[in-house]
Order: sequence, then structure tokens, then C-alpha cells
Amino acid sequence: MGLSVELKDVSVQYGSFQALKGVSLFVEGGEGLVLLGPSGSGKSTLLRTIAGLITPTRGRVYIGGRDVTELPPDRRGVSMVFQDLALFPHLDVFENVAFGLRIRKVPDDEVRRKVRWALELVRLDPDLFLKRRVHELSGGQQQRVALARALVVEPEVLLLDEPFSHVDLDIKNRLLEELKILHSKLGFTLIYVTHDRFEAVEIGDRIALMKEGEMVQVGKPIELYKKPKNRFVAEFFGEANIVPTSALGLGEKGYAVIRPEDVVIGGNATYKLKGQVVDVTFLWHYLKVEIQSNGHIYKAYVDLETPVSVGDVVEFGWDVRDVYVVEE
Amino acid sequence: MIKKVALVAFAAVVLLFYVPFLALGYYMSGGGVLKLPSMSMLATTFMLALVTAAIAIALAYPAAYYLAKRGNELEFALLIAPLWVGTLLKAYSLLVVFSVVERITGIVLWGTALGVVVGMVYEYFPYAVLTLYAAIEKLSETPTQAARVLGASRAQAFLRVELPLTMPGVVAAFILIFLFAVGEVIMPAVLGAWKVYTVGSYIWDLYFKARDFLSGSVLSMLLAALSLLATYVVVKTIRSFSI
Repeated sequence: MGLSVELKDVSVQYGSFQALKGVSLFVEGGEGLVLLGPSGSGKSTLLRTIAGLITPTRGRVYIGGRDVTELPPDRRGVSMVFQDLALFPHLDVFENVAFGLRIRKVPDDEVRRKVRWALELVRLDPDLFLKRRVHELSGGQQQRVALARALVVEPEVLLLDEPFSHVDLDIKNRLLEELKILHSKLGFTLIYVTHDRFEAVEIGDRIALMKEGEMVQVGKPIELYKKPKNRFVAEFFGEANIVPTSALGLGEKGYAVIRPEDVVIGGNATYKLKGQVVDVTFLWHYLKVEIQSNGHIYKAYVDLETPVSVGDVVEFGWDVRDVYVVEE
Repeated sequence: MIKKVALVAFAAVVLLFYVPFLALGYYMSGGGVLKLPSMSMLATTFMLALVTAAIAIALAYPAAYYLAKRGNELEFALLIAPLWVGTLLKAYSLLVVFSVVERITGIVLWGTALGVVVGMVYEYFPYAVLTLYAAIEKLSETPTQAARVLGASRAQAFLRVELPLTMPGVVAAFILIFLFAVGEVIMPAVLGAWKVYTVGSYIWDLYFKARDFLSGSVLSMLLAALSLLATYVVVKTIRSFSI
């Protein structure tokens, strides 16, 4: 079972730039947590702080309940997959994967056995790949080697920093799928950094959404989706119509969040508006319709059979129970 | 384009060796006696170059590493400052230093191989710094960080990852210094007081003391050929290192 990871009020300062502003987070042992946020939100910095590659200017880091804030990366017992993979170009696949074992002075025959085991975990045929140089591998194969190198030491905590950002969508989806299986099979604690919400829901039991060095909201995907803490969460974690409450007669301050799939056209809505269709996009299992009304563009996901086309003036609306109000 | 450039470069080299080629032709048609250097002279020359290159690189690596990681412009300028001073001037100022060292410690440097090595290392150190700096500076940080996270201490990460990855720079620095040092004349002459006798000194003597242009020319060509051979070997080595 993986170890828990905890951050208490962690701040990181680069010169005058504050990369992390007092972030606290608790990740349970064996959990899969995704650090999600736009670029510059501090999610990679947070991951590197857990790995020990960055020393926080303030706050403490705990792994398995032990204070590791002052420990160097080699004594924290975590593994990490880097965004640029950071494979060792001067070594072949075998020595790349074996690196962590060699450092730990594992006997030769056990190194051979474990490297084979790790390569099989990531579905690379050891007989085909052991002697290859890393620059001879495709992008997807390099990702697998990087993952095998991190897994071979049987880590309690696995950190991944946008590991699949350089491969095609198909390969990315397959790798995500396999990572998920490995996670449940090996039971390590998984902390995964990404800026992509689709990747995030694929891999995360919980999602920690960050912005400008601060933790905005942590919770299950459905909590972030249904009960966003503010406009930023509503917009970043899924599509949303965000309207000032004053425009809908729902109070002076705040914003109403209405998900596009809750918007109906012409049907029996409890709140109704009139508008003109400005765009219709076919998206396989639904239509995305954009309707202009009172200077605002509303997005609606509707059934493929819905008879709408650009230029139509339609009546649309939603059930008032589907409106979620945020304060800022 | 590249072919043309290479051709021009080759032509320039041939022109440079115009007199030596004539001398070689003269010799081959049976027109003179060739005074070859002794084996010990050759050995001295190559040993001096080898030791100089090795020591200069060993000293320059930490300096270049520091500069690449956290050095500032002033430190950089100071470290390569000896490049601004001519070799002869450097040799004579070292003579002053040598006499001071001798008075204080009793160690004799002037006229010894040690003194010559000190002078040559001083001369070639900046070249080593520049070459190694380029190699270390472009090194990505993440492989080293990956090694650290995988359990390597700072020293282990350096020995197993950083050093191998900067090896092409080490080899390049080695060729550069070795080639310069093989043809070295001034440092052995001034600091070695003609007692440390190299092929360079010998060619100098053949030209300017014995006025034996034939042997001087042929020897300088031989030295150039040996240098070319060494370059070829080392470039091949780099290729096998390269990633």
C-alpha cells in the first residue's frame, strides 16, 4: 500500500515570484490524485517540492507521516516520471531501467529479473528492447521506459509530471488506461500533474485544482463539476454558461453556472429566454448550439435530432434547479 | 556548398605547406640529408602534451561546471583572462613567479619539465574552460534530477549521469589542447630553458639556428600529419560517444 503525502502551508519563492502561496494538501496512501491547473498555476512546482527537487521557503512536507522537508530527493523513497522523460541517453534501455536498482546495489541476477518484470509491466517485450538505445525508440516506447524506470524500484509514491504530453492522443489514452491498471494492481500513491481536464478525470480519484500558486478546490471530479467553488473552477473544469446573477434576477452579487447539457431548446424549461442561434457544431453524440440572447452567448448541448440551424430564433431555457450560484 | 568550402580550406592548407612540399620533393629526389628527431624527443613532446591536456581539463572541469551552474559574467571573464595575454609575455611573467616560488619553497621550476607543464597548463586552461563550459551549459537538468529521485546521491548522479553526458566536451577539449601542445615552442624554450627539448624546439632550431630548411620543413609536415591522425582518431571516439 502506498504512503500518504501531506503538505502543510507550503510556499515557494523564486526571487520576487511566488510560485506557491501557502498550499496545503493531504493525499491518502494508495490514492490517485491529479494536480490540475493552467500553466503557471504552480502544479509542477508542488510536485517537485514533494520529490525534494525544490525546497519550500515555508511549510512542511510529510510522506507516510514522516517530515521529509529537509531530506534530499534520494532519501524520500518516491519515484517520478518527468515531462521531458529525462531518460539517460548514454545508456541502453536495460541500464536506464536498472538505474535505481544499481544505485541500491541490488545483486546482478535480481537486477535482470526486476528489469524484465518492469518492462513487462509497461508492455515492452524485454527480449526486443533491452539492448536498444533510447533514441532509437518511438515516443510512446520512451514513455514506457520512463515509467518502467520509475516502477522498477517499487515506489510507495509515484509522481508524474505531464508524462504523456508529447504523444498522440491514441497512445496517450492507451497509456493512461494502462497506468490506471498498474495503479490499482501495485497500490502506490499516485500524484499526477496535468493541464488537461480530460486526462484528469481519466486518472484521478480526486482532483486538486490550482491557480496562480494557490489551491482553489480539492475534491472528487463530480464535486468540482457540480459544486464549483468559483467561476474559475466552473470554467476550467468543464464547459459552463456563466451569467451574472443580476441578469437572471437571482440577486445582486455572484454568478450563475449553468452547464450546457442542462440547457434545453424549445422544451419545458422553468426559466425561459429567447435568442438567435449563431452556431451549430456536430460533436458525434450531441449538437453544440450557441445562442445569442441579451448580448450573451449561451452554449447548449442538445440531442442530434433537435431541429435547429444558424439564424433560427428559438426559445430556450433550463430548470432553475440546475442553476448553481457561485459568489466570485 | 560544403564541398566548396572544404576544397578552399584544403587549398589553403596546401598553400601553407608550399615550402615544406618543395622541401619534401627535394629530399625525395635525393637532394639532402634528413635529420630526424630522436625517440626520446618525440616521447617528451607527446608526454608533455598529454599531461598538459589531462591536467588542464581536470582543473577546468570544476571551474566550467561552476560557471555553467551559477557563475556570473565577471567570473567568466576573469577565468578566461589569460587569453588576452600573448604566450611569450605569459612565459616571462611565469619566470618571475618561478623565481619567487624557488626562493620561498626551494622547488626549482625553471628548466624542469614540471615548470614547462605549469606554463602550458596555464596557457591552455582557458581553452579547456570554454570548451567544457559549452558542453556543461547545454546539459539538461532533468536527467540529473531523475537520477537523484531514483536514489542517487549528488556524487553518484554526477559520476553516472552528468560526467558521461559531458564526455564529448571533455574529448573536444582534449583534442584542442593536445594539438596545440604538441607543436608548442615558446613554453619549453623559455620555461624549460632549452633543457626540456621538444619536437617544436627542434624544428625551431633547425630553421633558425642550423638553417636546415629541408629537415625543418619535413619535420613540421610530419608533425602536422601526426596531429591530423590524432584528430581523426579522437573525432571517431567522439562519434562513438555522441548521443
